[in-house]
Amino acid sequence: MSQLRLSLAITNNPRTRPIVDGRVTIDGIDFVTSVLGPAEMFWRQLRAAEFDVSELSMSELMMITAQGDKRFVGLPVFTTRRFYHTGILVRRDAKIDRPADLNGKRIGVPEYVQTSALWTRGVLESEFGVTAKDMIFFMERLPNKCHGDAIGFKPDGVTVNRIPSEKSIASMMLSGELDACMSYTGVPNLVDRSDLDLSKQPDIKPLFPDSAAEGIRYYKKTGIYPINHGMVIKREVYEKNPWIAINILKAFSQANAITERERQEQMVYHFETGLVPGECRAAVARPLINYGLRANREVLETAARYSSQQNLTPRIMPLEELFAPNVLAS
Amino acid sequence: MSSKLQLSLAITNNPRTWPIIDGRAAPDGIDFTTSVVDPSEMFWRQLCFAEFDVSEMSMSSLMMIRAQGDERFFGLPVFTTRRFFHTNILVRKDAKIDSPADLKGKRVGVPEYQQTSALWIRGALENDFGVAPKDVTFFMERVPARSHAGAVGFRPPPGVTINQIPPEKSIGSMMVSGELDACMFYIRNQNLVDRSTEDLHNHPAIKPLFPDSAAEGIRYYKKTGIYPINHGMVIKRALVEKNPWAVINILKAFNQANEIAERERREHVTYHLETGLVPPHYKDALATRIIEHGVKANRNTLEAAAAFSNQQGLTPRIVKVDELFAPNALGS
Repeated sequence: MSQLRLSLAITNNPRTRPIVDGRVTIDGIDFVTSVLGPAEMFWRQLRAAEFDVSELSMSELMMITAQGDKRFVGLPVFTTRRFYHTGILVRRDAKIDRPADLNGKRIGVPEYVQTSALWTRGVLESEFGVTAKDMIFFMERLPNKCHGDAIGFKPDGVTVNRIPSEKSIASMMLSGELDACMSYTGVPNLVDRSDLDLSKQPDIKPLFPDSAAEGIRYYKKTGIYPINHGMVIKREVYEKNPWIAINILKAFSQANAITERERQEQMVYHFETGLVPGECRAAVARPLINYGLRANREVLETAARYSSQQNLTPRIMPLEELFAPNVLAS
Repeated sequence: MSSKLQLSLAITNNPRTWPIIDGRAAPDGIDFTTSVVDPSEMFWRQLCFAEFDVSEMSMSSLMMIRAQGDERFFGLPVFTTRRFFHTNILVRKDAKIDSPADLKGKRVGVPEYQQTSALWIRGALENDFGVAPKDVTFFMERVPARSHAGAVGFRPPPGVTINQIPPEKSIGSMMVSGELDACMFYIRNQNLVDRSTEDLHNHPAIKPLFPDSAAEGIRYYKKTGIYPINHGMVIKRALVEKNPWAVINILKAFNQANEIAERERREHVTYHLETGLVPPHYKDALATRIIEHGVKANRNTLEAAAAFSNQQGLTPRIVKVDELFAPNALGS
């Protein structure tokens, strides 16, 4: 009995752990797994297609597909989400008290095309009327380490300056050369070089003073919990082995079910002692993340619309073009 | 070339043991050969045959064997499982039991009289509700050949009646037939030593003693500050004498596993907090650490268990916490 050996690049989070540690196995497949940060992973995939299977930026998958780059087929597995716009940081002296005040301001971003920045700009435009061209962007990643360059991105109608290699978003936020930044992590990796927790700096504050409340407001209003990464398989591997798409999707769904159960098990002591009141039990038991296209169509279509609105793609990418044909009904 | 000490480990499956089972937390210098075993079966195999070098162990049984002078094991202050056990008492709806005091004179099933959960339940009944063990008639399910009692030579304390449930019956069957009025702790999962199969929690003739059992657990915790410990861990004494370093190395690995469990709880609930499904003001409560291993953090709870054990006649004296654990873990 032999298994198909495939290389896998994956991030580390509760929903991927059962795959990483081997509790969930994939019928017919042996994964050789590399746990990587997403910034490095996507750059390695876009530039050189190093891995047979990997997570990939949804924004960048839409862009390369629109360009006719057919190296990958998507899988509707979405392990990471966040309300990215709630993470915007601003300088206290920049006179930015509300989102509308970002008009005309200098904004740092690690990578203009990254999915978290797509969502941040999309929400700024749809919720607060600030469009991408109202801001002046400064992008940190250098041409040889940049997702945008790897896929030939040219800004269209927006100003995207390059941050020189001796500076970073962090240094420019501190010096006052930037007024605000989005999608900031402060965790250096192969492609990012800011290495400072800006949120703890005295001159810096979050745009939304209660960012948790803003995330909840947005979720209640839209029902959207923004997706960051999807997954991809190399098309040539998929075409030779069309059965792997559904087998991999099933394995990740199984990993997701383990995560759902574990969340509840891990909360038991806090409910029993009353530290967290029993009325939250039902909420904690409620599954929030489901894979497959059906459960995520609205959030994906919103991202596709934002991508076209922001000129990252020349048209609204239909989901049918992004994902493997045999998972379209999932 | 370095070599590791090969030790057999028996352990239950819960968030605080997962990192040990899957190898994310590993003790320096030790290679565990791990068996994930149901606790009822694990303790019986350990008490009867000392099969495993390292295992979880009933705190109640550990106190009993220590008081008897059985020196096969040293305790390790690692406590992976807790519960407010008394909140789980089930009663027959027709048994006229509306409050704990109504248990007096009733027929009460228990899998194993000496098990730690039953120790805590009787302790809470006696000290919070005035129902002493001699006030009820016990029916024990496990037969001598497969019980912890058989393994440690347990005899019912003076004044306490413990009847043996015959092998063709079980707590489950006797609760359904009305031969029992209540049961303390109901074990239904398949293992080598328990045999009940009925789903009592969803049976129309059966109800929980505490209608709001969650509220009763919280009341008890607020009043006593005690979150009852079920299992501790043990290591074979002969092993420690040859490898005294193993004790602290194992304790450190379980502390590391506990840290992972703490971090994972917070990670796991992030999405629910961010979307507001769980209101964001519970973030700090969720980050609050409830479980710590070591003797210091658990002394009160252990001393309460030791006092109950003596009060219930399981041990002839109050066993001191310092007698239970390996000497090099006492400062932990």
